[in-house]
Amino acid sequence: MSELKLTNVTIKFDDRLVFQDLNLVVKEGETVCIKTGVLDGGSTLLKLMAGLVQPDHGVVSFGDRPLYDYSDAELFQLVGMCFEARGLFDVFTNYNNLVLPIIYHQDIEPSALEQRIAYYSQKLELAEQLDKEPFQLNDVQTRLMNLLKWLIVEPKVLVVDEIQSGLSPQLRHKVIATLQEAQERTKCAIVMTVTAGDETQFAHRTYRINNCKLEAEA
Amino acid sequence: MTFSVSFLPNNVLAVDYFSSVFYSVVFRELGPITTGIVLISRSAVAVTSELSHARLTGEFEVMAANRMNPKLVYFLPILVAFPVCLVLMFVWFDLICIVAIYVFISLFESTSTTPDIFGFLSGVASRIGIIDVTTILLKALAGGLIIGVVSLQFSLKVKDRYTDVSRAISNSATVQLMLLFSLNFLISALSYR
Repeated sequence: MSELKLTNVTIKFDDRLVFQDLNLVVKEGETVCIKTGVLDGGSTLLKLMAGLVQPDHGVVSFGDRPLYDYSDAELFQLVGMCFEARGLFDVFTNYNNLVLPIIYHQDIEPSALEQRIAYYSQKLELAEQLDKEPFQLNDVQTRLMNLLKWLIVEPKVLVVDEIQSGLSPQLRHKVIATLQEAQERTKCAIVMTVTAGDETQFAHRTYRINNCKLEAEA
Repeated sequence: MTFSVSFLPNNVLAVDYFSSVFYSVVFRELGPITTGIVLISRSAVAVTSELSHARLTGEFEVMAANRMNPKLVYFLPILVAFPVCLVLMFVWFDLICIVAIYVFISLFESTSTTPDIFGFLSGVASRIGIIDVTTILLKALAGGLIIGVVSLQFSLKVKDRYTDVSRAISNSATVQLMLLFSLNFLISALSYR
């Protein structure tokens, strides 16, 4: 079974310690929620898991290999990061933001790609936004467009930064249900940062960031 | 150029004069400088602006998250396109100048001194040698490459401040213009001594 593992990870920016001796294992098919506050390192934790920042000490690995050992094409299928803000290329339409990274890495049948885009864009209420450009989306739609891309890619690990912020209760349920459906089908692991008021009952485990460490919640 | 024909000595043919001036002024010097200025003011400034904006808004991090190599997506196309563009612009500029000069002279000169177009063209062509072609190609390729590199370099210096973008645009344009003039002077000095 492949799992994402953070082993004794320490990271600091300039003189500010963000995490120290962090250990976390996320198994296949598991959902982990991480409760974050303001500037406590929630996004940094997700970027560590996505391999976008390197720890000062320790290692982030998937299976028995550290993330830095994987090629770009392998990493694309391995970990997908949904940004809290932006996360799209301003020069492309939303549709091309979905499609171009995929065809850059994969030789995928256009009809299969179209099918996935149509299916998930309906689920996330984004079908009418595909022809528009990123500047025409509001912050909620931007986050959902990020999520849409990775639902189409179907990576083994999905790290999602505060996707629930600003969602109406109905849309929130839809988004969580869509994530669970994708997880059921692909057995992907999901790591999601959440803030006050977000739902976490769907998670297998929940943690809180406290004093540069993760504390498990009952 | 037209009015100066009236001061030509009797033993100097107008066609030789026109083609000589075109060759030494337009083809060798004005063409490379003018097209370089056009490339800088239109394309390089736009590229610097877009890439600086991409840096400012974190698009390079987005590119990293999509595991796309910015060298292939952004940098390589710029470093190939600018030199190729400059070569094509040289050719186009020279063609337009040839036609424009000939039309202008035909309009304002008497038929006894106006050369026919083929005489004019063959006069220009007879002056262009392998050194000239090599020099022009070198100016275009090196010039385009330098303009592209400078655009990239200043764009990538942008960090978090909004004012970094305008600073990158103005600084890169200034450096590009200085390098363009210096490069053209240097290559001409080495080729035509």
